[in-house]
Amino acid sequence: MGKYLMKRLISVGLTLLFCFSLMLATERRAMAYVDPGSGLLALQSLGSMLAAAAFFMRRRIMGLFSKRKPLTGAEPRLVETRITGRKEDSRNTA
Amino acid sequence: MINGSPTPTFRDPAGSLSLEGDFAVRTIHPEARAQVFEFVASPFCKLLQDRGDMVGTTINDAPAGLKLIHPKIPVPTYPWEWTPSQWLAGAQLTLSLCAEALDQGWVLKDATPLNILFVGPRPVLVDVLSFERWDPAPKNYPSHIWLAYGQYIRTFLLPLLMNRLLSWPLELSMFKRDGYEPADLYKALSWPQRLSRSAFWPVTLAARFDAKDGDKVAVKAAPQHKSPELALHLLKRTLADLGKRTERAMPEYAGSEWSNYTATLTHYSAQESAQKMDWVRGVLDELKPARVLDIGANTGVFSALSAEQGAKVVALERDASAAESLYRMTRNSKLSIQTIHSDLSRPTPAVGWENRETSSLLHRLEGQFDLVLMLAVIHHLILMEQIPICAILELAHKLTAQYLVLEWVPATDPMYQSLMRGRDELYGSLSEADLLKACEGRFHTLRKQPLDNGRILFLFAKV
Repeated sequence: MGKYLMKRLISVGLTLLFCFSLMLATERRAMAYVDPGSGLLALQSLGSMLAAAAFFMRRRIMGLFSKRKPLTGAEPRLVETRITGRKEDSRNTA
Repeated sequence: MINGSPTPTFRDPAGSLSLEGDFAVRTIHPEARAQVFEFVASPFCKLLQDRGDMVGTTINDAPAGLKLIHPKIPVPTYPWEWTPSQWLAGAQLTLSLCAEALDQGWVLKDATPLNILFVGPRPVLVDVLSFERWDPAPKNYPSHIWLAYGQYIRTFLLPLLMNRLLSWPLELSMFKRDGYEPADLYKALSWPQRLSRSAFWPVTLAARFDAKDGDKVAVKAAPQHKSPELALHLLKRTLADLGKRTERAMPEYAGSEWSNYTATLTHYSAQESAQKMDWVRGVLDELKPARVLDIGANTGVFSALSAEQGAKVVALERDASAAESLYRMTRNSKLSIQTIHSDLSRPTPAVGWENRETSSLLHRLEGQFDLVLMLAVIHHLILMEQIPICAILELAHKLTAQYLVLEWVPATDPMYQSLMRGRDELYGSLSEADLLKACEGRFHTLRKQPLDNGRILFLFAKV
């Protein structure tokens, strides 16, 4: 289980690093009526990238936790909550 | 009175606003006409107006050009006259309107407290031109970027945060039209503060990015766009994140000497307090003023009394903590009371380019009120600010259109004695006669009510 978890963590970490590198490589100054700032623009990009990474990898992230505690052994109410949570996630992709 | 109406606005490329009589008139520049017309004619715009979240707008599509006519808000206030909770209310309105606009295909192109005015306790977005069509594939920046993000942080979040972390007064926003730069704040914070949950993201990290970006040369390249669905999702996450950060930046509320004033009155017994309240209520009942100015409103007991009698009240309070309590009371009670955190003895000046972008507080207040309340405030002006009685009555004469209710505090009063601080020779002999002498040519007495504690309530009418 420990080896599996480590592989997952490395996978998530690499994806985040990739997204961050992509952001630094591609972000450009915006043209706007208000000053978008430079650091604040990069900050927003970082926040968006983290949110996007979390969005794409939500199943993996959830998997990190669900694998450790099999659903079969969980209380019925907990199982129901998790299923509902997955439904909400799938709605976001629509 | 000095400092007249503000000059027409000039920054927004889509149009400018000027005050004409009882209206605010927005002239739309020809190149922005189509988009502005589309927005103001949209059901979404109408919904915001009906709900009271945005200022009322009448379209005047004349051959000379498109104009939008708004009703003039009687007493506009600026962010440097707001309490922290008013800042939060303005910020939350901005973020919620932007999130709602995204669902309708619009977005806010700017996000500054200067786009918000208060009507009673309620924030209202007055800059109709802030809305523009949301572009899912803009030419110059990625679609998941909210262009006003930086401005929101500089103008809403960071002033609140610095008020919380270092007690920088929110009044300082008067000197910073576009808010604080993270790099400047970074220098002012200690390391524990830089690493704190509330400051790490908007100050420390932003300042580091600033330093890094300053050395880079911008390279032109096509931006990377997300799918519209993902971009919208990310924009909404950004707005929700800003909302949480703004709540976390709110200063911890602490009672000050004056905010507990009415709860810890030692110079008023319950009976005397009731006596004063009954007398003021009687005056309000009889005169039925439509607009009341409560100077030194403290936590708003008499403002609430006036509003309950149907008046629209402007409550002026100089103590930050008392003003905050006052605003919270008005927000919870939904009474028509507009809180202004300002000091009558050092009123907000006109500021901005050529001192003409915003008008002075006294100019905004002058002649706007049927009744002015100066309850338990004159001794503060005389003793703490050292203003002559004649000057105080002269200002009251300018502020009220008809009546003045004034509470005279005699030199024997314990509060008067504590504020006099040994300056008996100068102030120890002031009496009711000096007050009435100062009224000559300005006010005549309609009613007088001595209270059991030696104070005297006067109802004056303007001559």
